[in-house]
Amino acid sequence: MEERKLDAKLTAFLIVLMVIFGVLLFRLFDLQLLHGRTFQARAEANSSRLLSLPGRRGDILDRYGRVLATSRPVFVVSLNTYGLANQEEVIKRLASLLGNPELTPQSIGELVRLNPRRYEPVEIARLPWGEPESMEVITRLEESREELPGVAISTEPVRYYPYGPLAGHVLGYVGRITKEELQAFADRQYGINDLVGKAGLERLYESYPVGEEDYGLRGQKGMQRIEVDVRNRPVGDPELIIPPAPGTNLVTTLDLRLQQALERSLDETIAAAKRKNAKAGGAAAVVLDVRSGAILAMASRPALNPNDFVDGLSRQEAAYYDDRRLMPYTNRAVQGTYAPGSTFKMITGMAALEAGAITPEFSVTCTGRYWQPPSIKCWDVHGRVDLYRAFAVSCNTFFQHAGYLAGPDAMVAVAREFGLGEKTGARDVTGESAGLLPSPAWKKEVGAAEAKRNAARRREALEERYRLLLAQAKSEEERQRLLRQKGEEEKRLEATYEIEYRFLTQWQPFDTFNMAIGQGANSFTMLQMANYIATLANGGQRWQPYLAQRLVTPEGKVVAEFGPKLVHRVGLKPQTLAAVRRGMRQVTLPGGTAASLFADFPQEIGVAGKTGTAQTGLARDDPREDFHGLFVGFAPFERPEIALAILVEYGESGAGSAAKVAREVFRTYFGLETP
Amino acid sequence: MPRATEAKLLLSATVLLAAAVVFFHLSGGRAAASATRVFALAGGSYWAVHLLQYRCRPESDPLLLPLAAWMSLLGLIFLYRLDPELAARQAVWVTLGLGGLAFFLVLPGYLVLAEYKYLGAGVALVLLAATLLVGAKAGGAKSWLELGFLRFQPVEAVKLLMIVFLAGYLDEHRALLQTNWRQWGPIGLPVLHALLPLLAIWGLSLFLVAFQRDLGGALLLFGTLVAMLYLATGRALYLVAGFLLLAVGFAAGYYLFDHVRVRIQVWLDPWAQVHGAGYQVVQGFFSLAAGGLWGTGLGLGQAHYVPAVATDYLFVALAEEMGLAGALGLLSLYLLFTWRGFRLALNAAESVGRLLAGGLTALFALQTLLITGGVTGLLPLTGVTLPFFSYGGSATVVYYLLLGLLLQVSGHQSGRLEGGG
Repeated sequence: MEERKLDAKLTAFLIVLMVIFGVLLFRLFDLQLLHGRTFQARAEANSSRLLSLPGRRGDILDRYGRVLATSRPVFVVSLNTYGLANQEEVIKRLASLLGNPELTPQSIGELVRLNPRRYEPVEIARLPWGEPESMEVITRLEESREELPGVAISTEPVRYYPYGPLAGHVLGYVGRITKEELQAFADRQYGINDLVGKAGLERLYESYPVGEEDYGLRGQKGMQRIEVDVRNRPVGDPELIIPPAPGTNLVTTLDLRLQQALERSLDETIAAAKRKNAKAGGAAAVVLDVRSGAILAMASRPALNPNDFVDGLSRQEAAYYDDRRLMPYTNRAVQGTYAPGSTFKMITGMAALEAGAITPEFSVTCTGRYWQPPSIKCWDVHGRVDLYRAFAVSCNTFFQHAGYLAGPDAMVAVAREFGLGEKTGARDVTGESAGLLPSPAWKKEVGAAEAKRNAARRREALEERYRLLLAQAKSEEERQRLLRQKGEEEKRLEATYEIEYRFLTQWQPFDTFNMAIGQGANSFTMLQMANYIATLANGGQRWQPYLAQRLVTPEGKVVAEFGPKLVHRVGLKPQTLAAVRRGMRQVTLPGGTAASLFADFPQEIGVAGKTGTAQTGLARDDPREDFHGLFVGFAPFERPEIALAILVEYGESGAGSAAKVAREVFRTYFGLETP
Repeated sequence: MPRATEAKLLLSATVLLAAAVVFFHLSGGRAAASATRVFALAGGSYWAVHLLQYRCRPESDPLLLPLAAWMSLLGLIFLYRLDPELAARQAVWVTLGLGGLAFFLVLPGYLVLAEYKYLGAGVALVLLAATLLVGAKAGGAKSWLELGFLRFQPVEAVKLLMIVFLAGYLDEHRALLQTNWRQWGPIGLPVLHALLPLLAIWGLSLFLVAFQRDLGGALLLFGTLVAMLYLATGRALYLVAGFLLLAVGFAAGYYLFDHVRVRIQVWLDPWAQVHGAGYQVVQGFFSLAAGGLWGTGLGLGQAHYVPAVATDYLFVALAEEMGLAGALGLLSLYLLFTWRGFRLALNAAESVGRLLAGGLTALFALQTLLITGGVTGLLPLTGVTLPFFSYGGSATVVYYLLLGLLLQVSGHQSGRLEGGG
């Protein structure tokens, strides 16, 4: 009974399966024979083609609406070989009309052969819009339309950066989507040939979902139907099925004119630095609005030109971008960390003032060397210096003593107040570095590891040496002697370790002196430095730097607005900040290290600043010859508006390089005539 | 004389392989020499298994092994034509699979497997949990386990282990599942714990969809279970409940998971996303259409433009180059295999064997339908392989183990029906 039932069920399964197989077979019949004809008919005479229309990418604008990144049309020459009888002949004719030595009949044939979509045209050439040579080619092609069946000319928007490398690191660039990206963005409907933001703002604002809508830069593709005749020529007007939707425009906080002035001056200064030091070529600079943290300008050298990436890098370009020494991809302004040198001295001054160790009137006598060993030389003999004069002449003696009086913990605490050694949290940059603010606790950790490493290495060498000696020992007596000797040496090693451990883990006086003048392990990004100066300038409000101001649809609707964000309020006495600001003002007045550069500035736009000439701290550099040039500053002195931090790699000195760039930025910002 | 039949049929498959090797040599294949060796290894392994059958299972079904050989060898030929290296690797997998099959043949009987059903189910759950915890990511889903140089998809083994478990479990609890029903007039409803196995596997399937994005694996597991429940109890209500749970699962998946939603949208209208998610399906259609009745001829198609052609879409490559005729030929191999499978289930001596063979065959048939239905647009596309035919390491090995189990069951025939041949 039971068995019979099971049999019936199995038979029922079999019947159901036969039916389903039948349906499957019918479907195959339909697809391969009936439908197959329609597919082919679609591609052959009098058929219609569906072609995707690229959606225009949103522009990136500066704060006044001036265009930084946009799209411009290019001509796209494509060839559809499906059902083309005299393919070879057409290709030969096309190659001769294009007149491009790289597009031979063979290479075009190769493109056609590798076309993954047989029913769609393959792209042969792209010609920039509005250039006489390309217009000539297009005219030639149009005239010979009759002899060029299958050839089509269309226009397509392509990313274009009108100022080339200007703000290249900030804007980023677009490029062809990779397999990994296709997978990661599976829900966003990218096609395999689509362009996608790869770096900078182009990547960060590629997509910006608000509810169901995406207000990113990326445009949405449309679809159009074209009727074509036997020769693949369009018949009648294309019919728009889905109109493409342009992407959203991004308004940034950048100021185009300021950015231009900054980069022009950077390039000039770097060129001058290169004449003196072959290692020169790198630079980093940030200009902030002290009232909001908005980034007005930001630059990094060696330059990155986003236009290079639009059509893929040429071999020469790729060699430049992949150069391990140049590292042009790195945005040095947010990723590069540098010893601050004398630009750190405001921290030292504030720490000493705040601790009550000194008053602005406190003075020391500089004899060209700090009197406490192990002292660091001053770069000159300054005689009697008080706080203000110490800033003006950048006196190392004064600040070493101020640092000594304040102590390392006070300096570290003040530096933390200003955000040094931690990420600023800037919103629209990628890969920000935290820099390094050394402290006694940090030293203990790093030093202990180093001492252990050294001890282990010495210990191993000892073992190795005695293994050999013991192996060669001739008598038992000698062996015993060697073993005793080894024991002695082990004890000595132990003692060495103890001494070294203490030396490496304990904060030493010279660590304090080094920190006081911004050398040693201190290293910060220019973004941190600019933010520290901005905080100092505005009376202690630390803002979060940002680049994106708002997103605006092409119809002018604002879909997102980004405002300033206060991160921290500095807990120092206002008089402390005021005293240091006054010191910075002396730097650009007669007698200051940057006086000559700012002599022609009107009184009401007083620039306050600080020059820095920092040892690079790199093993390959000569500490007596290779210096980075730095300048930090803000203006106007009375009612600060902007702050900046500029670093020129191997710029010899702050006043000789970075300060010159700062001068041009301030001149441009305040609209001063160039003499 | 079942073994003689098997020998004759295997000979036909060997001739096919030899012809293909000669063809590839003549057409100037790049890696022809090295592939020949691996092909010969795979081809020889079938004969080794055949000889083993003489000794261990003289009465087993004579059609199943040659059918599998035809499927695998056809698959190898098309893989070779797409990518010789991949074909060589698949040949190694086939050989490994046959080794596993041989192991099942020398086992004294399959009933012992039913004894260890809870152990098997436990192993299956551990495998799934391990994938979730330490699995490797491929294509955005964690569905691989890495053991040194070996990488395998545990879900393949889980399918097999679950069928063995269910066969044992359902056989043991058949009475409970059949009788614990409450009758309200004409409608009978099971008490809750009679539904437990159904709900448990449903949960397991949802887990597969949610955490491993394995829609195909989940459908197969669930479909096979419903079929076995029905086989064991004869209650049509299990089919109805199964369909309802499937519908609920699909609806939930549509709203909860992007990957499920995308698959369904593409199924409904592949042309809407022809440059994105629908690209694969539409390219597959083009390939099928290019095939026509007799096909473009071996090596003359353009199926290599279809993404994942070696795994999900190898059937399309055959349909393009051998046309509708070739596709029908291949499908009839699958129909034959299914028919033999169900037939030997009917014939099995023990009821465990009937459930086991029925479940295994149901899995085979469902997987075949899922992928062929998927590439032809009848069903949403789920990434499962065409058994024996497509490229796939763990899938190939597991299907040979399945074949081994079927041969085991068929060796213990009750003799109620006449032997085939």
